[in-house]
Amino acid sequence: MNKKRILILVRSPPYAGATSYETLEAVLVAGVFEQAVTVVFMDDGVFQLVRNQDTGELGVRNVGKGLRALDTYDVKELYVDGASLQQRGLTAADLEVPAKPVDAVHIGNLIRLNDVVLTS
Amino acid sequence: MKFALAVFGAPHSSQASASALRFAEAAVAMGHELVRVFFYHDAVYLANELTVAPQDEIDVATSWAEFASRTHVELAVCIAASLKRGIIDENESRRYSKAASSLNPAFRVVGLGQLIEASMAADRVVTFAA
Repeated sequence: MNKKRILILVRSPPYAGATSYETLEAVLVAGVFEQAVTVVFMDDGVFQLVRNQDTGELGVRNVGKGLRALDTYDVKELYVDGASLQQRGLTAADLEVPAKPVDAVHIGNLIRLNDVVLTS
Repeated sequence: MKFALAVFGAPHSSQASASALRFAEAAVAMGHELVRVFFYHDAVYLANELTVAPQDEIDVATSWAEFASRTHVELAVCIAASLKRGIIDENESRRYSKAASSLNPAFRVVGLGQLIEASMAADRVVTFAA
């Protein structure tokens, strides 16, 4: 079986149901299978990246903590839609992990370049 | 061509599982191969054996079961996503001391790795999102 380039598009916000953490788990598992994994955060998905998340009072898993684990799983290609950040009053300095801000054209190219695109 | 299907949207509140079934039927009819159909997120609710469809509507879960028995395509649900939503097979039911099980036997409970494995084996992955 060939190694695949897998792109995961994260478009939904954290803490709005189980989906966001489950998407993160899919990213981690793709890393475990040693695939070439790229993650793009866009739309409300950029809120997943906000630094210093504290879920102590919520009683759910901390997405920020999960994001920090990505590096260990060899998932290093992280991108964020710059316009989505800007629209929400966020900058690269607000992020928990170093996701690279890119524009819509770049995201389009990433979708084209990858073998598999999963969107949640 | 080899397809893998990833179904993410819940039955009843999204069209995902019904659209995926149409796609699967069409793909097989055209001679393509389906590596696996993987249900994740709220799509695992489709594997709830205890649902009863209205008589004047298509029972999507039963249609999937018939499709699987006809084509031998594997219908897989993610174990972690299923357990937290009450979709549980007999083994897991015993393990967690539950009073009942709820998995439709047409579906198989597997690890999330099977989604990635299917992606690796397929030429194309088609996602049916929420």
